Amino acid sequence: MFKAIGYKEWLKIRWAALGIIIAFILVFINTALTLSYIVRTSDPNLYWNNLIFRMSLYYSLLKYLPLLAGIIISFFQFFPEISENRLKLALHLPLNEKSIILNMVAFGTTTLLAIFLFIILLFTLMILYFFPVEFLYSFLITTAPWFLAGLTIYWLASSIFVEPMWLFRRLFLILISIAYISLLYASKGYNNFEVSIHWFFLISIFLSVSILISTARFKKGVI
Amino acid sequence: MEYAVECKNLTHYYGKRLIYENMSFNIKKGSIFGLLGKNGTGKTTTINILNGYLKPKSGQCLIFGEDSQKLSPQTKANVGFLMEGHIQYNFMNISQIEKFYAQFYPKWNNAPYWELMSLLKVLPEQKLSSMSCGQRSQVALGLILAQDPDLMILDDYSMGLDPGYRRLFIDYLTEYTKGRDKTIFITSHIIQDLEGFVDDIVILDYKNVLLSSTIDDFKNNFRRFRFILTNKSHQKIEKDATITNFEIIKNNIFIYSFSDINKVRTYLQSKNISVKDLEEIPMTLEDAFIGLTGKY
Amino acid sequence: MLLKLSRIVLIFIVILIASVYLPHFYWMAASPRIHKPNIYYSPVIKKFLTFKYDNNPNVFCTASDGKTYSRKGSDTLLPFLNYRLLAAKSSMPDSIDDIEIILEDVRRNNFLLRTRPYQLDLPQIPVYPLFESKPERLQLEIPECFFRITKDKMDFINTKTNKQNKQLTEIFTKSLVKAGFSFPSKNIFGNPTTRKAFDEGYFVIDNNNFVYHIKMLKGKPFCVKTGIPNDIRIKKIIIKENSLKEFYGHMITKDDRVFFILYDQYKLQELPNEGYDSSRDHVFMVGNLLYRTISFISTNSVTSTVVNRQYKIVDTLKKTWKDKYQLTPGIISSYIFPFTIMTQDRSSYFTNIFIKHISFKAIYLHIFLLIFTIIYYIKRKKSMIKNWLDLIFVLLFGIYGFISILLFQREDIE
Repeated sequence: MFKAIGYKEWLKIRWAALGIIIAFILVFINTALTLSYIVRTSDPNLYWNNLIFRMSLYYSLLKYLPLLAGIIISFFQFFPEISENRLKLALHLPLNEKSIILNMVAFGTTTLLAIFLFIILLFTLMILYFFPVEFLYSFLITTAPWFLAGLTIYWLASSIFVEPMWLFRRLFLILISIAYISLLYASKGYNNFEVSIHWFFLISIFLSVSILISTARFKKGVI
Repeated sequence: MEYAVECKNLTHYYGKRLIYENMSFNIKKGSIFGLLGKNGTGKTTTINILNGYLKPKSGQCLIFGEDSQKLSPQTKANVGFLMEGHIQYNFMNISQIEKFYAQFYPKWNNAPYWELMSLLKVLPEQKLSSMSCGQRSQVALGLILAQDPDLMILDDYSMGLDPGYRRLFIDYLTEYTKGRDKTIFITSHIIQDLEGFVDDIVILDYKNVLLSSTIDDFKNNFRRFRFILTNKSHQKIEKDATITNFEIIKNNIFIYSFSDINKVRTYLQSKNISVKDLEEIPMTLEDAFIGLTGKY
Repeated sequence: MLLKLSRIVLIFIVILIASVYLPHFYWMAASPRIHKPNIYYSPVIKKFLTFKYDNNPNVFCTASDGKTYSRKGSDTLLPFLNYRLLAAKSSMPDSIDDIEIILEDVRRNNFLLRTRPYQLDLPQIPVYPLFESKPERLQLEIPECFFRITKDKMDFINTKTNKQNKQLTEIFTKSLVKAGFSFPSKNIFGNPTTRKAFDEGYFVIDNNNFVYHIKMLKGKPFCVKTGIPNDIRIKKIIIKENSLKEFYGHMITKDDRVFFILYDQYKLQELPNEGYDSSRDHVFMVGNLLYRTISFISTNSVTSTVVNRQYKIVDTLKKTWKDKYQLTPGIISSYIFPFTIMTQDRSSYFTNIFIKHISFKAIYLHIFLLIFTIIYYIKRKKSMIKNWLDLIFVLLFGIYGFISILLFQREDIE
């Protein structure tokens, strides 16, 4: 039965997921071409020096893409559910309501994670081609909050979609989301979250169940 | 257990607006129950409470003995639900949606579904979003029939359907329940479609229940009378136990009542209302429904 | 159960977010301007001068004996700092303390070094360029190969090919082994910039906490064990090449001591560290022909100590002022916010969750909000017993808790 829920979610988001993957691949190609251009046509030692000591980021195109991906997946997954209160159909399925919702969220999360891991793998291969492994570590630490922001906004946006009380409640959830997500982007240079990413990871994980409260409110019919 | 659905003392408000107070009704297993009323009288509210999508301010509904706010998966599997407006997953095509629901219900039987689909002359790859309202209603109906539940909750099945589809819908349901122990809870604002189909009816008005009866009783006992206005004594006419409703059209006064002509005459005279040419005017079921619920 | 838990978790997250943003916006609206004094030591009158913004145009600075000076008058009090200006006006003194003033000497002996606390806690991709310290064409150039120190070698990598330069790797690793270096390194400090006259390479802490000096001389390795004792717990070495060639730079230890590393056999010259807290204070060093001044600047005080060229303490001065938390807006904030969470702090470049400005004065507001909540519950006929946890949140977290329980009410999940 959970396979069937996965099937339904997949039907909703497959084109969106494909679009996101294409966007990520385009960013990857752009970054790889830029690096190879620099190595071919100029002095890569000056470039390395900039990256290490001026903290400029060659992968900054990646910065907001995971965030966008999270919002898009959440939209394609949950907008059909709340338009015309279609979520009632899902909640009527002969399963525990919490596990229905959590399975839907788990499916979106897995999709996002798969896309993120795929793109991280691509960048890893590229970075190891151009730079020593120390650069890879810095890349992973620096982009970790961005990818985490993508997952977090997915969880938050989903609970915002399901929340039945427009304006007041949704607006507040949106404000909280913006406030929290901005913390993940409060960085300059690289490796900013080296000592704290685990804390933010923990907080974000907890946010993944926030949709349960929205669902409970949806079910109670708070309008 | 005798009842498929028991609702006790339901009271609900949206904000400060009262929907109804202390409404109770029971639906016997194997019977067909119609909840009627104009739009905005609380039909969908009742459905939402029954399915656990709304918590009433007070009161409780039991479905197969279970609190409707906390239905177990087994009970939900045994309840078919048609959403108002025949809402379904319109991002799926008709074969995907059958494949999807089939995995949830142990008694799934897709024969009636495909039978209905063949009548529609649509391809299995056709998406629900590209279908007409009437076609989608058949998809939704087909899915419920395939689910083969013991209780069907059908919210305003007639919404947006032309008479042919409405008839088709009821025909299929009649066929489905024939000789089987199936219970149907149906809401509608078109009473005449349900004639000969439903057993018990409840008619809702804003804020209260107008009638709890059967269609035959209602049809046989609810009457319309007309008399001519002669002076201003008609101002004393008001709704009460005898006069269920009244209308004044130019100098004709129409009285709706569950009493016979003699009782009405005596009653009007006892209130010193001058009655001239009092006569009973026959009604169709639709007239009776409108007479009871009012035009506004 | 899961629902209850997720509500409590969300309440905590709202508390976290509120404790970041409410104080943030409060201070955006209420921050006053704070005039921090600058302190310099005048070698002419042997007094500290305090420069402080003042509306009075006649008072530009105040000497430690209370005498005030105008802007023009103060210029000649700091002849080394203002030597360009004074020389242009031909008003540079010929001698101070019987020492003849030669402009070239003044220039060579002048230095200003400022170290901000976050500079002691910076992220780093541990890959470094090793400059040729005496370039043939006199201009420092970023080399083609960068190095890293791995668990068994000093590894040079060609930036064009991202492949190891075997030759450099081999000779430098050999040289380090010969000098007694124990791989891997624990820390690498250098000043890799081409905007300087010459390069002193890197000071590297090896696995046994000994400090090695590594540079490249005419393409050959120069690796020396410095003799800095390995029981000094080094926080940071800040290399700053200076044509004076008296010291390589300064070193700050984990117990907040400050040293110059001298060219003279890498001896350590300890500097006064009166009142220094390395996680809080800026270090500001001013050097000239006659004196060295070291100042530690916190948010509300500065402690300056002046030493002569033999590092004997000459004078010391502490000035305090009120920072924003001690002024009226700060006092008001201490009654509103029980604590403030910041993700950035002056002590570090890294983002973290810093809990700051804990104030017990906010308890009055907590109690007021608690009473308010109780009245609200009574009016709404909500059970006090079922909502006990919410009341605790209000009592403990004040305004943050109050906002959180309003947003996520217990009734939502029943």
